[in-house]
Amino acid sequence: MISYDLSPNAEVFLRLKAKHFIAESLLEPAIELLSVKYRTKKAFLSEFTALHMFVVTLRCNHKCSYCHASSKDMGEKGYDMNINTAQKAVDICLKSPAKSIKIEFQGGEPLLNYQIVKYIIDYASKEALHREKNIQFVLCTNLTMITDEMLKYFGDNNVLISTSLDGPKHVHNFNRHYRGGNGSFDDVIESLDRARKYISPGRISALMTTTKYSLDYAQQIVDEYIKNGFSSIFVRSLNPFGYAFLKTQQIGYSASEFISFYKKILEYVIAKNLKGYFIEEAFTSILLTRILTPLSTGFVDLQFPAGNGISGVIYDYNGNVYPSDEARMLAQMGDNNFCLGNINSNTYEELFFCKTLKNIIENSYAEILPGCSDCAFQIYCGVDPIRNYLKYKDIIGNIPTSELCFIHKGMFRYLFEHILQNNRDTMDVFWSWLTGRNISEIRTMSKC
Amino acid sequence: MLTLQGIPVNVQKPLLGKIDTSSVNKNERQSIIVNPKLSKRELKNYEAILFSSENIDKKIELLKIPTIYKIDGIHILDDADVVEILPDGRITVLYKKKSPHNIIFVTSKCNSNCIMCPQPINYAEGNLTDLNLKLISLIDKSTNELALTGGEPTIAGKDLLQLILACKNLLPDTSLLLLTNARKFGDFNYTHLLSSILHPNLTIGTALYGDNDRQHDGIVGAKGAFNETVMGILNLASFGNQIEIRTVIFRHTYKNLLHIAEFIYRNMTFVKHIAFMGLETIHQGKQNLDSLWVPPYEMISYLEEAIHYLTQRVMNTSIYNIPLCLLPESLWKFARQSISDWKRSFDAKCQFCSVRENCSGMFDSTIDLFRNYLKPI
Repeated sequence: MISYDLSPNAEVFLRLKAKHFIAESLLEPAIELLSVKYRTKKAFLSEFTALHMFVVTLRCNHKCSYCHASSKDMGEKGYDMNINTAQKAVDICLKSPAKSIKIEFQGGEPLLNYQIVKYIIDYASKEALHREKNIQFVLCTNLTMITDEMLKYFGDNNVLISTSLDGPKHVHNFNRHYRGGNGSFDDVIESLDRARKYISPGRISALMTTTKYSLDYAQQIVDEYIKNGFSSIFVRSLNPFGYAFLKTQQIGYSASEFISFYKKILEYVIAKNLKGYFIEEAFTSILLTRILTPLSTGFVDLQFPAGNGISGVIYDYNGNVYPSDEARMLAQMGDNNFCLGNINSNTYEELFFCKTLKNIIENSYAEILPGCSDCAFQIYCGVDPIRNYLKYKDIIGNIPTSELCFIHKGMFRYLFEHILQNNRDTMDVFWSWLTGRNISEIRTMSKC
Repeated sequence: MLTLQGIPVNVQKPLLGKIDTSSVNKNERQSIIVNPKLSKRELKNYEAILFSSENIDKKIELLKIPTIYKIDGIHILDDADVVEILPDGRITVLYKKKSPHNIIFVTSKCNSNCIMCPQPINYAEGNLTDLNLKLISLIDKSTNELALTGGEPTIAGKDLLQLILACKNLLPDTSLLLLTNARKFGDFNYTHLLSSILHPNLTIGTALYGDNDRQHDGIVGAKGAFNETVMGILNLASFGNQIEIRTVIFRHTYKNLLHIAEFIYRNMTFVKHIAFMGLETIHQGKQNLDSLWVPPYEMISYLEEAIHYLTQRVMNTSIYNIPLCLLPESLWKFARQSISDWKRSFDAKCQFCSVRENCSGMFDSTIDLFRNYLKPI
């Protein structure tokens, strides 16, 4: 091409031109199409903060092996959000320009402060109506304390339930146990069955956190999800890696160990889908949406500019406002660098247009960050300045030594291997996830 | 368009009217009565009279009402059809109430010159806007869909906008399909004017014959057309218009169907429907037949690929103008009965076919080309 050997009517020239790798004299249409694509990809930014996380209590009835959220004992006083803070947080949250607001209850175990959860749902629903906003609630709960009365209330208010299920009994109980030491598996399963009487199965999802112990049980973990009727599994790695705390708990592992675990999970999940059972790995679906479609997927933990504050924000029990859960953890460890202010003493403008947040966002454009700017996977990936800070005491961090980067690259490579192989079965499964259809539907739609 | 012929009496100038076969609509404006059994006094309420009989009563001639008699095939006219009567005794059916395929023919003029175009350009044609406005005022309000077509309707400029506005006001329940090469919509102001009409159910049906300007422009015979069409589609989308993209399957495009599908999905995910159409072989399509025609078996695998790509991505997709027996069964659900009833034919072989009811049939013009490949099911 450069030496003018390639004819402009050659197949390769036309394909490159159609995909906007090259342009001839008239640039405007190509630039216009590229800018539409770029705007579409970044559409998640247009709404500003949509996800608002409320830590309604630090108290928890669990003491999980991987928990470093420094949860408090059941009986401790002074760690619950009060009604005054809750109201102010909702007022701030509804000032967001986003048309659709998601309020997510976190903890501790939010059900230990059920009255406030209820108050927030009632108050925010009423206020959202006045302001013509759509509002959706997500309750992150271990489910073990949920009563029928609560379930009825959540069902009536269309609350989504996000729980934790780490696998079959021995895996789950190894990771997740009560303060007394007993595993919570049986209680979680009992609650799940009960919950489905009030809340449709599609509105209940679960996160799966991976410990060293989980690594040997990829298939059994997926089977447990299928057994319990889940159509989605979200496989999470520990956060952060190599944390001294995790090593002493003997649950940590290397990034490459996690990648091979992830591959095992995915192979098995794909096989299950091909047998007709719809189950997606939720994080993979997010990555595939970015790779295979022109559509926008904001995901606060993996986007650029970073989701901190501008996509998601967290209100602590005492009214402190943080750009992410990691920022809140840092504050609990004594580093208050990323606190945006307090709900009781700051205005919306002071919280969301503060220097702290600007500094984080300005340093989160992957296009210009060392280690990201020349990465082939950049446009599908994201930046997490506060996790960088957690490890490197610097929001830009050092990407070549970042385990998180290693993991994401590992996943991208693996997914691109599949895309390159272009196996009809695998691709049909991927598209069934991206379009929310069972494999049989994809097959009858497109069996050729 | 369907045309009948008879012997004219008192037809001084072209005349538009609405058919009345049962003498019940006599008070309606511009009714044309067919084979009336009415008194002279009653006949005076009518705009024109049509007869199938060999001759007519002298008394009727003396009424001075435009009349045509000795019309063969008059039975095809139904109540509420709209016809144009010409001084030479021709009767052109402009609107057929029973048909799902009614059109407003905006102009025969065009700014492109597609190598497979089935529509001859009439350079001497006058402005059809007044005729069309009258037609719109006579069309039955229960009509589900109307297509505005040509030629290239946007050549009519602001007149086209006037027609769409008239449809909005007079036919509020009728959805409109504007068939256009969309080049004119590269002009942002024109797109703005069209969008400002706020027609509640207007779809813009446009066409792409390639994923790049070199191939597309070559086919439509106009340099710069691809870029104008693409900009037109983006402009239309920016005002929230509903857009459908069509492509025609022939020698120049059949290997690129997947590329076209990719281009649409990657750049225009917002389009609500994509149609792959079999060639209509009249006019240019006939003259250039040797260089255009691809036997069905040669193009099916490319069509399958493109359809699979789009349906995997939940894009709404259809196949037009290809009979079912030439498509693999997996593609049947995409095949539509797309051919206007007055252009649709079946072969003698089709008589015993079990899926004929759902088949598109063939254009009168393509039936000879398809005949050897037909295999009744």
